[in-house]
Amino acid sequence: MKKLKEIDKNYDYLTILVKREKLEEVENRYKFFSWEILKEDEHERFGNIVVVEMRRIHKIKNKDNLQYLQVQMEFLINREEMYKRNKHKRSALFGLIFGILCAFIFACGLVTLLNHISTVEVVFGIIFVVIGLFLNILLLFLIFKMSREEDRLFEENSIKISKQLDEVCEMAKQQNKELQGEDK
Amino acid sequence: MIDKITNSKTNRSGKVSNNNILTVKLRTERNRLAPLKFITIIFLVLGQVAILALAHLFLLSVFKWFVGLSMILSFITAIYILSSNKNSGSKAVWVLVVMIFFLFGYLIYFMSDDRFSFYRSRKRYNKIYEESKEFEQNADNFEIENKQIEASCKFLKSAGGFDCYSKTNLKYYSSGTLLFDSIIEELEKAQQFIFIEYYIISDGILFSRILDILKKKAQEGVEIKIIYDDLGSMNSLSFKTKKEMKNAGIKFGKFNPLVSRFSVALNFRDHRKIVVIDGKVAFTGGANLADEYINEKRLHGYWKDSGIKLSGKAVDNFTLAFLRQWKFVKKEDVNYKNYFKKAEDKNNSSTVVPFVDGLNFNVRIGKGLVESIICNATKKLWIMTPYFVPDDTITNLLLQKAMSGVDVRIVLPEVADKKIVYIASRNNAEKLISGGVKIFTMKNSFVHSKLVISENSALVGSINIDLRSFYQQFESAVFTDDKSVLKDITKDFENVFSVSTKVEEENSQNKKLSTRIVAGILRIIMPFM
Repeated sequence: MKKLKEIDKNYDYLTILVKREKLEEVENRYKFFSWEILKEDEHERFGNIVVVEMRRIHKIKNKDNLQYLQVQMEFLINREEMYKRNKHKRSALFGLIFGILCAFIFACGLVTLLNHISTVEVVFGIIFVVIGLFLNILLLFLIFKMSREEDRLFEENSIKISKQLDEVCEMAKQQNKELQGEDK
Repeated sequence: MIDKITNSKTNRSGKVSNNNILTVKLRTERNRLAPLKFITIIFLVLGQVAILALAHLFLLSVFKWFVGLSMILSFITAIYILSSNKNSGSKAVWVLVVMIFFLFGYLIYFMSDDRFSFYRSRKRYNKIYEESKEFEQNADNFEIENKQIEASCKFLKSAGGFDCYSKTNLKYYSSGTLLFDSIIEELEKAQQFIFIEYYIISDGILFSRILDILKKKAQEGVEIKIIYDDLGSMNSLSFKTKKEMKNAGIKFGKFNPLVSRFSVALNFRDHRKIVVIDGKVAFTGGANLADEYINEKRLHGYWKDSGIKLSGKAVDNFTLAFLRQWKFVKKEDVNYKNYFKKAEDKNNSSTVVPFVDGLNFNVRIGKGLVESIICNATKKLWIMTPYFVPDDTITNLLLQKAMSGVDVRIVLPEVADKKIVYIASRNNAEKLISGGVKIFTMKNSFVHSKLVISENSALVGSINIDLRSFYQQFESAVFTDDKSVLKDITKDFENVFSVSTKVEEENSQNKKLSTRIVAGILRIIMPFM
């Protein structure tokens, strides 16, 4: 981040931290909002983060709208990553809870079977082991199904977000065009 | 310099990877020493409270009759509260506190009552106001054309001595960016004096831009006075900047300094936002002097703010308010005569009343005016506020207006800055939906504008629709019927509606259990907020 004394006050400055794999995309999107890339630096601590310094002329028309759109863009970019991170959250949680439950049923059956005294316990032990095994297989199937559904949803959301991002950037581009038109 | 980052793991290059950042994050500066000061003060104050509590418990254990005396005092206090001018919600909660904690409840009440905790300050304010009373009479006598706002103007005159002006030009700004660009432009033209009063003044690009101009102006011989609130600016205004201001010849003073002494008066803050330039131009609004207000720093999404510029004789109201506050803060003599009647008449017949509110007034001016605007609305009543914690009177008035067919709309933020207050605000607003009030939340934004507009008048300033603004803070605002301002504010509202989500009744009922519990608790303690 530039020190306040070093900066040219005819410009606004912005320093962002960006994930390396998204760097090009993010930089290109910021350009729609009249930001000009000044420099890219390695983050002093984190290898996957790049520090990007940008500037934009301070006095531009429609600045409010551009700022509002820029915030929408930042929200959308981060939301996309959030969806990615939480892509299999539901299935993982479902698998964990019911997995423990099924494993517990299976273990109960196994313990009963190994320590049986009467025939009834053998029968119950076998029933529990079978149910436990069946539920575990069913669970694997359900998780597989859920995970595929989540992938589909993620794809849908990604497309939606990408579309929204393009729309926001397009709006910013239009505003910039208007500005350039006015300047001429 | 860098936001706190945790949740990291080492990668092949030896550097660690950070997984806390989603994809993109804005880098902002922070004053690391300020929280330390705040924590120290909190600890010292808590220590004093603990000593007081222990002393009280000692009295109770040594003198058994003290228990009986406490009961009697609690009973008398409860009667005193019921007969006071407090709002009914506040009365009920206080009586409950005093009666349940009868051993010390009455002590808490009297320590927090501004009639006691603000007694000496009020006396000083009264003296300052009395000796500068002659400067209240600045406006030419004129007939208010718009009869619908006449009563509100009379209220402002009788409650605070604020003159009603015409021949003053007004310009509304729909964002902090536009507001401060205009302020900077006007500051560059200053020739005699610049008065600045803000709740928050923060180191950063905005203040750096302004400070450069102020330093230049100070060199040219322009008198510069700045008031900032010590709590509001504590985290943000560095010692280095203050030294820079002092060296440049800029005078400044802090309102209600945070000291390590237990006093409820520490809660009374100067929330005003006033800039006066040469007595010709003045600004007020919701935005403080900090980077987040112009969206150069991202705290809670897009920061929606607003402000208004006055050019003309009406500026005198803000000049006087500032000078009185300056005298209170700095305890130095002020030669009032040098600062008034500087502006020329403008070709504008609209009515405008710049005014301030504070604990020194006997009447709650901001609250009274908001009620007056609501009462006078017959077609539309649109409100934009970051916090919505009204009392029963305003709640009932809003419901009554909505039920009588007035288009009542309230815009709140979608992103919270203070989660607890946000839950209370949403809860209070959503209760009005069944009565026909339309609630909107601005997408991915923190709405910090404080606007009330009806079909015949508007209020722009620093007054939130919450009990803190109404009862515990010093505020500034402009009340007007200027048609161009009404048009601009209406346009701003319409723009905000277009990027907002309307809260539906069924959605408002589907809340998490935890939110409902918090909202229920907040309903009880709301009168204290």
